[in-house]
Amino acid sequence: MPAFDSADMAAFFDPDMPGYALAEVKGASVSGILRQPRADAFGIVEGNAFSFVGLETDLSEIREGDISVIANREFTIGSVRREYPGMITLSLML
Amino acid sequence: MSHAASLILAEVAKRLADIHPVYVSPPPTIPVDALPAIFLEDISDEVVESLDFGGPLQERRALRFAVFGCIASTAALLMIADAGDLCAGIEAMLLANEDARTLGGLCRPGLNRLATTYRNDSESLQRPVGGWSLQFECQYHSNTGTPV
Repeated sequence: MPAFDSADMAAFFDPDMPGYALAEVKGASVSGILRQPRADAFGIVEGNAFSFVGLETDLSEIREGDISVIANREFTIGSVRREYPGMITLSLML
Repeated sequence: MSHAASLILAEVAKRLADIHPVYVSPPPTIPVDALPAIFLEDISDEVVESLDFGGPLQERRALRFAVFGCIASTAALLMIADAGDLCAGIEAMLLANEDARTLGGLCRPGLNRLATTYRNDSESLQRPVGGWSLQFECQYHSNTGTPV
């Protein structure tokens, strides 16, 4: 996967991007994309699979179990994954 | 309703509904906010022995099903304790005494628990969900034919 330059990143996390949200991380406000697709467990329980994608430089200090307020909702960080170059994906639990 | 397996399952569902809502497989998906819930799954009714002397067809059948007590929690580790409470509640309803095991005399040989497995999904949804799935068997005899 190619690396993204700063212009790419600025486009990804532009306030006009669908899902754009601000996260409070360690006292700082961080831009990112909040995803909340429908999902299910065991094929019988349905809900949302919340995740937040942001810049690796903004989210490098965040750890599993941390609390973050994203789009005015308080989430617990379930996992921290590096799926895309320069970005971090957080799975979120209510 | 005279179908023995259905009668037994209906009685199981009725008793478990005193704990939490019961859904019979294949269930509709229910919202995570509706948990705890109990699912009756993997239902089978198998002939394990039959005798045919030209008269009534005597069968011994084994009704097997799983009772999945599903809860949601705030953390995967916390869920184990809560799931244990629900598992104990299911056991009390179906195994605690003679009336429970025989479903009030409906199933005279009584319910047997075959195995228990723990199911956990802490990745898919906004909250970890899962619990203990208890597998039961109930053997019973039936006359399914008429004299020739």
